[in-house]
Amino acid sequence: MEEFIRAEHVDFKYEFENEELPEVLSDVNLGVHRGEFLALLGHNGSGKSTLAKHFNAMLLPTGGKVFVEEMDTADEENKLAIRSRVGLIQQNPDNQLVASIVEEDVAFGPENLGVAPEEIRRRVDDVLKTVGMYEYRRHAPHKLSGGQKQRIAIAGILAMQPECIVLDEPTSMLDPRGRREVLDTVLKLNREKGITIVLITHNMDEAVLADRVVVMDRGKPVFEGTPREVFSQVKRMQSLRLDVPQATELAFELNQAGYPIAPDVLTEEECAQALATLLGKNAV
Amino acid sequence: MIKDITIGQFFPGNSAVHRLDPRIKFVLTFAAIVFVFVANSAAAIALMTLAVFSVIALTRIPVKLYFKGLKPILVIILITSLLNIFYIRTGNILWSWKFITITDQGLMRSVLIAVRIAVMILISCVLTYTTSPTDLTDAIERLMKPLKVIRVPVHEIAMMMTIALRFVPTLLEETDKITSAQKARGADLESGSLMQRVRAMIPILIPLFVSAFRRAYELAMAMECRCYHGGEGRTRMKQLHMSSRDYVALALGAILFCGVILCNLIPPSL
Amino acid sequence: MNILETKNLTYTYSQGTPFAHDAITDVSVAVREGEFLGIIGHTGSGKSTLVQHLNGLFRPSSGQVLLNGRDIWENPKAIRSVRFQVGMVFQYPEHQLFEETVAKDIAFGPKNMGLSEEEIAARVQKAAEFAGLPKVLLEKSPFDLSGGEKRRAAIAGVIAMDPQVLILDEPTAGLDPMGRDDLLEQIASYHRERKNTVLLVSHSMEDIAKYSDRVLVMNESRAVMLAPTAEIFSHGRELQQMGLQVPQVTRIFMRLRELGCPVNDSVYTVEQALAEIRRAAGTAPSKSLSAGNGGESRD
Repeated sequence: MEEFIRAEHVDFKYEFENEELPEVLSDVNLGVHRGEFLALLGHNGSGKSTLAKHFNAMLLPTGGKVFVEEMDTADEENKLAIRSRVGLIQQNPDNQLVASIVEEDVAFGPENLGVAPEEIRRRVDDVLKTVGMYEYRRHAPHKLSGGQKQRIAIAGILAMQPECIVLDEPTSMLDPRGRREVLDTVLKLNREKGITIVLITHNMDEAVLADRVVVMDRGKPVFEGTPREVFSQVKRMQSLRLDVPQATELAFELNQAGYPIAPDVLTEEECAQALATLLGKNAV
Repeated sequence: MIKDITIGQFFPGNSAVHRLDPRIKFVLTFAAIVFVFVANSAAAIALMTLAVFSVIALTRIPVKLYFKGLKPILVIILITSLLNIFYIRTGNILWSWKFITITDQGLMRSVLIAVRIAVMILISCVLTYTTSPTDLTDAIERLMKPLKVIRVPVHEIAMMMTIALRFVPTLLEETDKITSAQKARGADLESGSLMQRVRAMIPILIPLFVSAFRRAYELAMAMECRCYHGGEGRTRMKQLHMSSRDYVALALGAILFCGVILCNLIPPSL
Repeated sequence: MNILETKNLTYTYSQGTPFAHDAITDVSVAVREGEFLGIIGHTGSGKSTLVQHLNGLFRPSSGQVLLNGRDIWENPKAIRSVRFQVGMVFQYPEHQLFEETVAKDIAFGPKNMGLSEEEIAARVQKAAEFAGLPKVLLEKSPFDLSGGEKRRAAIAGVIAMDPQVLILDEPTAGLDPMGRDDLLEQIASYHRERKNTVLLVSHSMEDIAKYSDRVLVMNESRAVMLAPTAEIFSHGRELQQMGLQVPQVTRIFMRLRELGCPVNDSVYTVEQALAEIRRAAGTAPSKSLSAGNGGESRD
């Protein structure tokens, strides 16, 4: 698959009043393929948010290079083109909305890009329908729920017609319903609109839906694979202090205890079927 | 509570006044306020008052709400008119006691002043009650555009107003939350001397500022992510168009203001 | 012995206007002294409004809140003393830090109680310990701490009042799995050592399941269930109908029962699930028969 974003030997450290702070990223090599749904896992301080900000030139590597569609992010001239191709959604939905009317907020991106007014109108209506917030187009954002606000933020990025959306823990401040709404929206964008997704999350229910999971620790990716490959390494995930789905943990522990059950069970249904077989009931 | 103040509030609606181009509303409001002070005869002020109440009726917003908007200004109106009653000593003396003299002209003047201030407030209320804050910001940005020539940062001012409007409710909500949290730790905000009360606000104000800065930082980043790079080359989705309704409003405004000037020429009957 | 009790508690927002609606309706629940009570319900179910009544931040529209058997609004002027006895940690408590040093911030509550300097100093030390906050951090500015440390400092600020009841509203929101586990363990050990009553409001069924003795379920402004944790999670279907997620192992066991396996219906942790499968399937065959070798890592 073609690599849409490519990080090559990326190092990054913050500098504060000429005092150099420890490296946040060290020698990161990672490609994001066009059209894939990539989940980035790792605990706070593992460098995943910092890496995400390199994908749309919000941060520039202190060593190495990042390319978006072969455009070097360090080149100031590419900045706007890169940011309109790769959108970034942050954790706090409240602090991403600029205008006090939903549709005007969504229009903000295309307005900055100098898109013609009629075209903006068309795009705004279109993306609001995509995220299921069209009926709320005249509402004030502060009266909406967290999940709704986050969907408005996603619509605001979509209105720039990006290839890729990077979401930095978009659900960590939301309740379960808001999480579901945002995750459904993200899945729809990936599956139906072919938008490349990079999702940074702590939530296993979200990561299992990805095509590929990359686990980060201490400033670099430590291992990757399909969700099944990654989560079945229960001991390794636990040593990195990351969660695995309870279904996987249960099957793994039973396998360890000597029961004839596959250790790489991923979903609830798989687990239930495997346990039923184990308990002598034929799977349905 | 801050939430009880009606002046500056927007009441959504679909009346003829609501649907006017915000630029026209802004210009007419400004002109009307000027003409309230141009009007210096009883007839002229009566005409302005009549006109304002007609517009109020057109907005289909209960008159009660307009009077609520007047309430905070009532004290100022009273003081100003009282000062006028005692200050003006020309005309026929109606009542006199020691150094206090009330004349018919003084009484007339103070009533006129009171009506003027009240009408001026009502006019402003019509504007803010029928125009959303975003429309107002838009109108100001577009009306001020010519000032760019003399290097007034019009786009920046409008952007700041937009962001302020967006975050006022958020910060009010946050203030409530922080207040609850500090009360839960026994903060006493209701008793003590003025100084003590001011000091008691510190545990609320500091977290509020810290949070405002954090929000500002995150918002700036979000704006950059959405390709914001100042006003240059920026387009707007919403285009303001003058419709026939707006031309009619302008014409009516012009007739009214001519009427005020004519009334001024009629000598007062007193 | 019930430490806290509500009697027909109702709170109406915007009373006397057309927008009036009940945030909580006729809630009568009793909290037992020393228990760890989990409170669940989706956003808008009234759980936050309910807990803010328990320390007198909200005044009931009707009904009563009893602390140690006495109505907390008996003397409205003394409501502050109720807040010292029922400590409340809000969501994102680190947003309330304001003092120059962590120690001073933790001392804010005790100071408001009018304690002596020595007593305050002792309480700050003790609270920092309970919250798992290293001593070296006490003289730092709270704004220089990491996210997890800030939250601990804020929680210590409430613990320092030495409340009989500690209420935590979504204390782990926004933390990563490691931060979440550490913080919850810290709260659990505080509960064990102090033997105080702890109320934990959370969206995470896994966390509630792991720590609570009993669970209160709020739905559409009413208290719909209050029972021991095992009993609550045996009502998996009903919880799901209220839009609440049950732990994944509970869902797996619900499915197993559908598939005709005679397993216990009140399984809500992985440990319980393992024990239950062991019981139902008998002892494990020898290790050599196991399928696969998931213990080894593949890079």
